[in-house]
This record gives sequence, structure tokens and C-alpha cells, in this order.
Amino acid sequence: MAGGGAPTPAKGGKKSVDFVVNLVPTIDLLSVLISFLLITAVWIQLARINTDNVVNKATDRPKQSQSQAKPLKILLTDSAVMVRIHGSNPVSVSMGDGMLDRLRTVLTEFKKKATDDQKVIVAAEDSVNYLVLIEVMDLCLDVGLSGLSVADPSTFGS
Amino acid sequence: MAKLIHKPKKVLGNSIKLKFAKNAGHGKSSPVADLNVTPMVDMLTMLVIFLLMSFTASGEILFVTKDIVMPKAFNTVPLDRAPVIALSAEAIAMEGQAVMRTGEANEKWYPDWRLPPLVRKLKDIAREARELNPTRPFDGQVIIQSDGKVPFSVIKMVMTSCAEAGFFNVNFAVQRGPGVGVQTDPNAKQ
Repeated sequence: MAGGGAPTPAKGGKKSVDFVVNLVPTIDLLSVLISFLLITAVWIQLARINTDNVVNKATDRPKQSQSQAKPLKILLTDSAVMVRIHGSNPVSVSMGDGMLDRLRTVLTEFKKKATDDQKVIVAAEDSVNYLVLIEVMDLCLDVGLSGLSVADPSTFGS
Repeated sequence: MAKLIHKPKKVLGNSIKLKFAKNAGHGKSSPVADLNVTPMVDMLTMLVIFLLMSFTASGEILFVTKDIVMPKAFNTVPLDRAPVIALSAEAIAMEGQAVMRTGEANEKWYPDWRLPPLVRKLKDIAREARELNPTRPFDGQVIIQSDGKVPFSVIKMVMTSCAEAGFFNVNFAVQRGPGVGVQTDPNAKQ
């Protein structure tokens, strides 16, 4: 094993068909590669969810082209998630087990009627955790609603 | 009866149990032992393949700290280089430097939702970015790296401060994973 690179001579002067490959350089190369990759490895995959900053008290915002479609508004409260389109009555999805499944049903129904550039404004009450905000935004993106903005709750009624 | 005195024999290696060492010098077998390296090469190859698949050349943009447990999400995009605001239960930090305590970010103290220490830092960064790249338009990107338990009241104040300093493009940093919105198993929650 791991001997020279030449064919080993067999007894009786006949040339052996066995060929010994020198594995030492291979092991050296693999060891160096493993050391390098272990040092530079990233074990936690980090990513981002992109949003538009439309928190109400933010002023001096540069003018942007507005989509013709009315935005879908989602309000997160401690007890429920309210979903409404401009002018319509809000649909309430209570918090608790299966909230995301029920909200998915509501959003999927809305997505069927929505355009591709549909804007979604997610607002939340002060006590709502960041974790819930991310869960709802991830669900919106999963359903296919990609134009996400984050706003304060006062925008929900307007 | 007189005891016969024997000439001492070779004793070296008698206590050694290994056959090849015992027989050394007699020409019976070689003292060189073969080592089967095939399983080792297999293992090293598998390790290299695994590490190569998880290798990323983008480098570290965010530093994961113990006091910030980021939520998981599935529908995400890769991180870009941008100023990072880290929010934990204790402190608000900008580019690794603590700016203020999280408990201080409340509407009673800052009714206009603007956090002056953070706004100052952000404005400095925006000014530096404009000076370094005068030809390129300022993209206003910022990354918010927050703990999952931080309330929205703090997030909105940080976002208002970002807007005040000209950062309108907010990115929420998350851990890339299955995400609870995609996976319906309630046990998958953090």
C-alpha cells in the first residue's frame, strides 16, 4: 500500500500486473484542503428579507412610482392578524395554534385575484415580537406576495 | 554436581510480544508493517466534498452573537454588504459598537420615534458612503439584525431613525431555514 508508483516485480522475472499508487501526496492534498475548508466554513446560513421602510413618522422620503393596485394591509396584534384591502372589511385570523395555516388560506385566496406587483404593508402593534413579524412576512413571500413594506399600525385604517 | 554455565543467548526482544520485532534480524519477516490507508482516503474525500458544498465565498457580513437569536425564514435572498444594526434585549449596536440600551428606546423618552444616538451614527455612515463613492447614487441599504423577542416598538423606532438618516431600504437578517410559515409543524418553532 502507498508504495512507489512503479509496477512491482513478481517472482520469476515476470512483470506483475499490480500497480501501486502513491497515496501520500493525495492524503497531503486532502488534509490541506480539509484544514482550509474547516477554517473558512460558515455553519449558520444567514440571509435577509428585503422590505420598504414606510414607518409613518419617517419623513423626507424620496418619491417613488406608486403601483396602481391597492395595497394589501396586514395588521399584527397580540390576539389576531387582520387582513384587509382598501375599502373592504378586514378579515381576522386569531393567534394561536394553526394561525399561520389559516392566514395562508386567506392570503392564497387574495393572491389569486392580485396582480404580480401587488404591494403588501405589514403593520404591527408595539408589543408584537419581531419573530411574529418575520413569520408573517415569510408566509407572504411563500404565497407569492413579494412587494413587502413595514409600517406602523396607524396606516392600517387609512 | 557442578552446575553447567551456559553462554547467554540473545535475549533482546524476548519480552516483546510482536512477532515481527521478535524475529528482527533473523531475516524471517520484515519489520515494516503495511497500513491500509484506503478508508482514510475515503473519509477525507467525503469530508472535502461536504465542506466544498457548504463553502461560501461571500465572507462574514454578520457576526452571530449569543444574545441575538434570529428567527428562521425560508423565502430569503443572500446578504449584501450594508451597515448592520444589531438589536438584542439589552442593547442597540451599530457596526459592532453599542449605541444605546434597548430599554431606553421607548415612546415616553422619544415621542417622535427618532433615536438621536443612532441617527447620528447612521448619518456619519451615509456621509462616508457618499464621500467614498461620489459618482454612485446612495442605495440607502441597512441590515437590521434583531433578536426574535425584541418588540415591534423598538423595531419601528430603529426604522424611523434609519429613514431620518436616509436609509429607506431595510433588510431584516434571518437565519436561512425551513421557516414556520412554510413548515406547518408547530414543533418547528424556535
